[in-house]
Amino acid sequence: MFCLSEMEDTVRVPPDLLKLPLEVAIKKVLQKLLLNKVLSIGLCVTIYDIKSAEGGFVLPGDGPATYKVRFRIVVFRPFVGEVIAARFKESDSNGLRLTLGFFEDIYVPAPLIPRPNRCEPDPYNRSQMRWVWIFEEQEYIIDHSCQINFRVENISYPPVPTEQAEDAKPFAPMVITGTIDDDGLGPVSWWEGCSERNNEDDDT
Amino acid sequence: MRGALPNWGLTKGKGNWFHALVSSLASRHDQNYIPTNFLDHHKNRTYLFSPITSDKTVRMKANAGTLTNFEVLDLLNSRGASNDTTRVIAPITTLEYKVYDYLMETPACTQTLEIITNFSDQCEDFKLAKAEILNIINIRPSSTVNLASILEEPSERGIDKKAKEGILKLVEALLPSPPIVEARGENEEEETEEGEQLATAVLR
Repeated sequence: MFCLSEMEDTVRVPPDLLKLPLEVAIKKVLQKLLLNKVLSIGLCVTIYDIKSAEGGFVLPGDGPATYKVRFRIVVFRPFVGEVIAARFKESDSNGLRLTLGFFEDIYVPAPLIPRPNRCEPDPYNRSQMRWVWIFEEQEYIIDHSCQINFRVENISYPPVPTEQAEDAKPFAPMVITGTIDDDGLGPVSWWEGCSERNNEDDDT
Repeated sequence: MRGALPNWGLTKGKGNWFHALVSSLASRHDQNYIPTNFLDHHKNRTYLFSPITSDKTVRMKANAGTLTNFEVLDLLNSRGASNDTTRVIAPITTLEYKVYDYLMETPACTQTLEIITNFSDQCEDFKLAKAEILNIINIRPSSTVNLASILEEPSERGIDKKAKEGILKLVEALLPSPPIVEARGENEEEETEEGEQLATAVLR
């Protein structure tokens, strides 16, 4: 789910931070620059360490000191095929939306919800739709009662839109598409009874 | 460009800061060198870099190593995430706390470095892909069904039921049971060694 990325960049440390130890000051500037931003490699979560910082020149006419810094960051970038435990956030007629707390743009489109299924208006929440999986005459509801395991199908980085309608959803720079259409995926409660049955089979 | 000094062909050497200053300015003049932090003001806030086609501004190695959930949790703990209940004193940002909260609900919070290195060493016999070992460590499957979503094409690779059971036994023996997230569904882990986790379970 997380990767280390090594980067090299020029960092300008503003004069008010120069009283701090160098590493702390550079880290502060890097955090402001990179944290919670989506780069082409993923969502930057934290600065891992600073490998080297050289320079420290103050250019004429410019206040901040410029350093050439080599550092490593931890990025959130799941690989295709990774199984992740997430929580249910909301659902509509197009599919489900799941969240990890720190990352909320995970979508499971309708074709990737196990069939046969049906979508019905949620009796507890007027504005939402609820998805139900029908298997062997039993109905399994997808809601927020437990963790939902999903497998990553695709990660896309849509380009920044130049114009957006007033009420459009906030732009998501990184979107993960997941599937729950496989053994062991979907809400954890679906497979609990199944695992006990399996254990009995294995013992006999 | 600010303060353009001619390049007097001085080598980039240590010692005289003036030499070093000139050579760094000279490098700025070549090939549209644009300090990346200036770019920040002109770009959309959520999207820091446009897809990086040129590596002139920021040189980076996108994947310097994959991290398990445990390693990221360990990193956050080493910075004091666990000790600070007020969440104001430790030098950890809001995003990092969200990641911390998420990771504390996954099996990663009961693991240690020895456990996961031991587990990945012992997995050698089963010829699993690195991605699958990572998945298993992060998700901690408790039954064949959970394992099915992680393993890719098991029948074609000769991983039969016996091998799956072998893997599950290894998981059961080496990886501690996951935390009790919702007070349901974890009851089948009763045969594990981590008794203190189960003490908090609401047994149904």
